[in-house]
Amino acid sequence: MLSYIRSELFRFFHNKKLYLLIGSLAVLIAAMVSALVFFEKTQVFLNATTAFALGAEYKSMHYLLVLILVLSMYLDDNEHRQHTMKHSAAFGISRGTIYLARYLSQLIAAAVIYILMNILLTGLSSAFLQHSNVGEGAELLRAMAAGLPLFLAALAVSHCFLMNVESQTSAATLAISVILVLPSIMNLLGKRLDLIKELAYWHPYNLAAPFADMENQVMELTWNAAGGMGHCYLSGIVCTLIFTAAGLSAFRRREIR
Amino acid sequence: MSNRILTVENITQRYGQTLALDDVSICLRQGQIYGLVGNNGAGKTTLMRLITGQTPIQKGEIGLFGCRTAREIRAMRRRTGALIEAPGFFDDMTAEQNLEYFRLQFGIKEKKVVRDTLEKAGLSDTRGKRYKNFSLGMKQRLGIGLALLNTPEFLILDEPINGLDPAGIVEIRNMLLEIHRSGATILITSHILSELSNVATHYGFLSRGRLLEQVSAGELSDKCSTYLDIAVDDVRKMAELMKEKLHLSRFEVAGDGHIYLYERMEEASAINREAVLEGLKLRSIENHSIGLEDYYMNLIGGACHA
Repeated sequence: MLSYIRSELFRFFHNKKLYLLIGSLAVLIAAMVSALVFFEKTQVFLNATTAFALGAEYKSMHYLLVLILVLSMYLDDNEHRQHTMKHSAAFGISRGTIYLARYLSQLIAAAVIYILMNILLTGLSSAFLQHSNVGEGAELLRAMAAGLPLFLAALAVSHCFLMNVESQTSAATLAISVILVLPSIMNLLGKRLDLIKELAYWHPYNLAAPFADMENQVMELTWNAAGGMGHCYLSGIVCTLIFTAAGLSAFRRREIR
Repeated sequence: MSNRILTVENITQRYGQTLALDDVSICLRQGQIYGLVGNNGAGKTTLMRLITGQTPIQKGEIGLFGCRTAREIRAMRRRTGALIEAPGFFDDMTAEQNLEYFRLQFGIKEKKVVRDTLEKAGLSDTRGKRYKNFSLGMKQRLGIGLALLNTPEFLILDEPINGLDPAGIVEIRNMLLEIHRSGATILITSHILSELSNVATHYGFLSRGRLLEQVSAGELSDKCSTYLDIAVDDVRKMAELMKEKLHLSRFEVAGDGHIYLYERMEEASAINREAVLEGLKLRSIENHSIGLEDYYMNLIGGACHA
């Protein structure tokens, strides 16, 4: 398992497309901070603060789940076209090791990239924006902690399809359907059926998205609500286990070409 | 020569309604170079995929180095090297990076093995060139290099000389013979049967998923050595004579006044005599050799026996 993870990390390290993705994310972060600085200098603008900049990230955790899917495609590097896994199987590496090692390697890479991007965001915000000092740093850390199991789940969904569907485009479509389309449908049906509404609440995408607190007329985050952090972990872990078990079971039976 | 390296027992494999392999059994012993001969769709690659664990087995059993359980076989696969169909590598990485990826994955300690393998495969001067810019022959060489990365005792090669130029083919042939001399056992397929006959010590003939025959190179050489080409004015009458009076069955009636006889070639004079007694005019009787290709075609029924 460790040998396989080492080889995968070696591959990520030499994947130019991955550097391009990381560079693009870094440019986006820098562009957001630059825009805030620019607006502050040219007009009366109250949002050029660290609270706004960091909030833009932790209030958009549901979009990061979709970003995880994109990242996982980059990390997979189109195995369906390159057919490298057949050499691993021919060398006697078990299907379980291949499946889990690739998942764990992607998880390590995703975690490193996520932490690096957050360091960049926090660093640039602290250097160029007004310090709000309203606990935005702690809020970001709390969001990261709550987001961890949800990211695990998104990665498990994506990995399940990437390892078992014979086309990256089809795998991506299926993963996006589960992460993005399914909760939207459940939310719509939930307006009519209470059971579906209850189920929809537990979907990782819905747990990561801010919701309206009608009483206080504000947008609230699940992990700040009572029991919310626990719900994120429960949903993330259950979803990860279901998709990992299903993906692994299918992968054991499929032909590696 | 008695150590069994690979045993395939009663393997049957289906893809939907298609029977890819039908009750196939083969046995490879240490030191053999086993050439698997078959046309497209015969089941060669399917069999190799089963042996290398790429495809789960539906029915039958495989044994590797005397081991039979799934766990043991997986462990034994570390003593094998394989190249099945086109090699699979990462497009954006160089030959060295691709081999380093697999060296790390296979847990091979010596870093030097990557450079040595590149040299052995004739790719040591590719340096910064990415795999996607490789020619077909270079890709094939890298695939063979990967199969040799762990110095295997058993080498499984599916069409290894695909895309190689004549010099490359000779080079790979010599490499295989050298590996064989060092004690390795080799299972190999190739569409270029003349090339296969340069290296193989044993043959298995597959057609439509069935193993038709297994022979040693010596036995095959005896069987292929000659056939009698009989040129006669009335082939129908001659065929009847051969069947009824001379009790010959393994012959082929060609449409151009020729009959090809594959058995009892030493009885040419007796055949001549009988033909003359029957009033047939023989234009010639000649001995010919047949190649591996013709032998296979006869075996699968490409020729029409009278």
